[in-house]
Amino acid sequence: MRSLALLLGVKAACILLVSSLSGTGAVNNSGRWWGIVNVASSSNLLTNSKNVQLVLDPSLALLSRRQRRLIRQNPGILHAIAAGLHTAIKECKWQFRNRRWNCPTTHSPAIFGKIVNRGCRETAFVFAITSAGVTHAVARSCSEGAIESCTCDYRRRGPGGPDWHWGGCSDNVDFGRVFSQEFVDSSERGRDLRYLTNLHNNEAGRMTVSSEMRQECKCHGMSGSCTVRTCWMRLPSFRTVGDFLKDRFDGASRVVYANKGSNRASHRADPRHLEPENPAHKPPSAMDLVYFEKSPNFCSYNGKTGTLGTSGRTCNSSSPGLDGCELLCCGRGFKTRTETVTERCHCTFHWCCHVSCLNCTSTRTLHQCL
Amino acid sequence: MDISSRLEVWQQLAENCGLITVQQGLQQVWTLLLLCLICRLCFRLGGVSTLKHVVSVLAGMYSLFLFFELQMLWVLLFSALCYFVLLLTQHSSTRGIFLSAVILVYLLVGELHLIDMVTWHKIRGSQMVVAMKAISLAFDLDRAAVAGLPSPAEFLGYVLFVGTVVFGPWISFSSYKNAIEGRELSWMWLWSSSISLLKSQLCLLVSTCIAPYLFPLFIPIYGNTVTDKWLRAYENAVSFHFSNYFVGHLSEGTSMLAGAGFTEEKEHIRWDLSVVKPLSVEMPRSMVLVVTSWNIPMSRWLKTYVFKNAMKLGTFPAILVTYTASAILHGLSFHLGAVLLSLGFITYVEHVLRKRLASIFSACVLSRPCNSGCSHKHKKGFWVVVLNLVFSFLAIFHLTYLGSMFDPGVDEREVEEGYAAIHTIQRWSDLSWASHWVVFGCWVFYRLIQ
Repeated sequence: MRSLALLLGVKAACILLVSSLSGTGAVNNSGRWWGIVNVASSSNLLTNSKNVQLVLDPSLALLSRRQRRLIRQNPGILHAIAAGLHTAIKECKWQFRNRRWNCPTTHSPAIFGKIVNRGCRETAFVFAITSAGVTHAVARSCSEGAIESCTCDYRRRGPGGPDWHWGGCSDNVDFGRVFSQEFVDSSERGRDLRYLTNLHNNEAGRMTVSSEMRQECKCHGMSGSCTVRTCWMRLPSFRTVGDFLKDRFDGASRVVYANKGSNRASHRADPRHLEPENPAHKPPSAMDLVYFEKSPNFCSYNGKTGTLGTSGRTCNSSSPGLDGCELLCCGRGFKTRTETVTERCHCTFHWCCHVSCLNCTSTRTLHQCL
Repeated sequence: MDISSRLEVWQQLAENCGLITVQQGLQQVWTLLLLCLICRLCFRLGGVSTLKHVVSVLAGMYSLFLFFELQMLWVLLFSALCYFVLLLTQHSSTRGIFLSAVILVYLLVGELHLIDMVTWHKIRGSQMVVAMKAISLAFDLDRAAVAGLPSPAEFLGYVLFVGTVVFGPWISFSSYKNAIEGRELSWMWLWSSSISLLKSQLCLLVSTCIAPYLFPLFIPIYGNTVTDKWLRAYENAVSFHFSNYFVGHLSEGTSMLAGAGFTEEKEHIRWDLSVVKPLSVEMPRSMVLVVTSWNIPMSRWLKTYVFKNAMKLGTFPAILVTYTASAILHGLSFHLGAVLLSLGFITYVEHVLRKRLASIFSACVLSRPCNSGCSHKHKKGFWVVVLNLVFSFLAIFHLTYLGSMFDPGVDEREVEEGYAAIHTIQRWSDLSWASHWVVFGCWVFYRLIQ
């Protein structure tokens, strides 16, 4: 009976492997948890984080059993996850606001659309930034005391501790990292190239948050001597994380699946690993983003690949760059229209405390891709 | 930045910086405060004076240990050395000069990396207080203001007095003797010390959590490429100033808590020790007043024991000697030396220029406010106020420039070890040596109207 089950399991794994390698059609759990950002905003689910029953709500079926268990074990963390996801999406949209792919999201549970089932640079970025978002938000909530199972990082506190000058209640980035690893990575299944790539990019996002975290200190003493120091750890602002990941996006490395036959001694211990497609390149570091297929050009609508196209996008007629009409509209040209906008202006502050403004009307010229 | 997002950032700052800072500030000083209180109660209980001195020594040593651990041995060694020198020169009448020379050599040796940099930078403040106390005692002995050489317990009790040993301030030997007597506990005493301690925590908060984000988060001034440098410099300067007020008010609090720092008018005791005057630094009338309000006991010490002794050499050399002494006491690091020497020139030029202008216009535009009986014709005229304001802004400008180098270094070690020379030069050349040029300009102007 047990051997039968094992056989079935292996068979299922094989099917999963084959179907995901072929890249189309198969149901993929990758990043299904992202859907909770819509769930969270559409219901009052998050208003009462203390109530354990809520996380058993069927609308959270998007989460795997393990993820649901994690949420149950860490009361209050659902808030942080949803907030982190929200920030990540906002940051993704901001970083890509001028590009053909501008990080479009939908209101369906598959929030980033079909791009996540591909293996291009954009996919890599989505995985990295969401994982970073969760790490960041969980670490922050920790230090705010909003998550019951974690508080300030007491290991780093006070004289006599292992490292006495790291005082105070630092943002608990370690908890954020470990939690995010458990939570985010558990939605990945398989042993194939896509699995490895996604895990690598998730890790890159987390690493970015913890490596950008810095300690800030100040010395106090008679005339600037250092008798007393006050220190605190500071998480990077999420914009810093976004900027960093965007840089990594531009320099992402294309990888291939390295099988057991690899003759590199260093990799013998772990048969499953990624190698740069071009053997002359360095292997990607832990903070590099990796991808394995070429990005589509994102110019026109394609239901199969899930690209929306750039028609209707606003472009900048004077810019020669990626946001310029020439490149953004893929040479299709653009139409120009003028718009009258009414804005609040000449605001003055009256003591105390209200602000009064005038309404100003101005005309703006808009260029839109055909 | 609109109001709502500003509020959000404030809230974040309060949570992520404010709470932690206050928590750490209290965590690091509460034992010291407790020691001061215990000492005060012991002095109050009475007993033989030798016993009191021993209590003072023990409490001082323990508080040094709390802050510097075993590195406090350097401070003890230094105190012992000072007493040894005083003992050797018992019958000479130039003990002050001789002890100063020995201390100078000791500080130079320490500065030449014989003690590792981090340690040196850490104990510098305490060392400075010990040096100031020993030198003042030596000069007082020369002048016979103090009767005879104190016993070792008395001497160590004085230099290691728990209320002043870690954060200062300098107190005279006679105020220590007064503190030992143990005046009655009063509400005024508790009130004054608590207020000082409260002020110190507030200043710590401003220094770490408000000053570094002053523009445009708290004061909505946005800089362009040129002014931005100056805004950042001002932030650094304010942050550094408030760190000094933190230490100053804290030292007020600790020394009053331990029973020192009161004045006696007949039967009435006033707990009125004042170490810093933040308002006269942030809104200065002149650089001369800034320098004196920066650390009042220290400037009093410099005036009594250095400036007055050096006056034989003439005013300008005396000013230079005073600032050099101050720089040596502060530990001879390049950046402090540079700041203090610049201050010397700035205050000198300001002093003579304002004196000249005051006599030309017969107006109250001196570095110090006129006293009521002064002979100037114009006291409160519109243009007098304007001229004084101009000098105030000039002082703020100099302070910004001088304080710009005390930025939180990129490298953490740099802050612990003190800044390197290149750092100072870098910061000042970023601001294109503006302050030095202005001083030079003022000096030329002074020579022209002389």
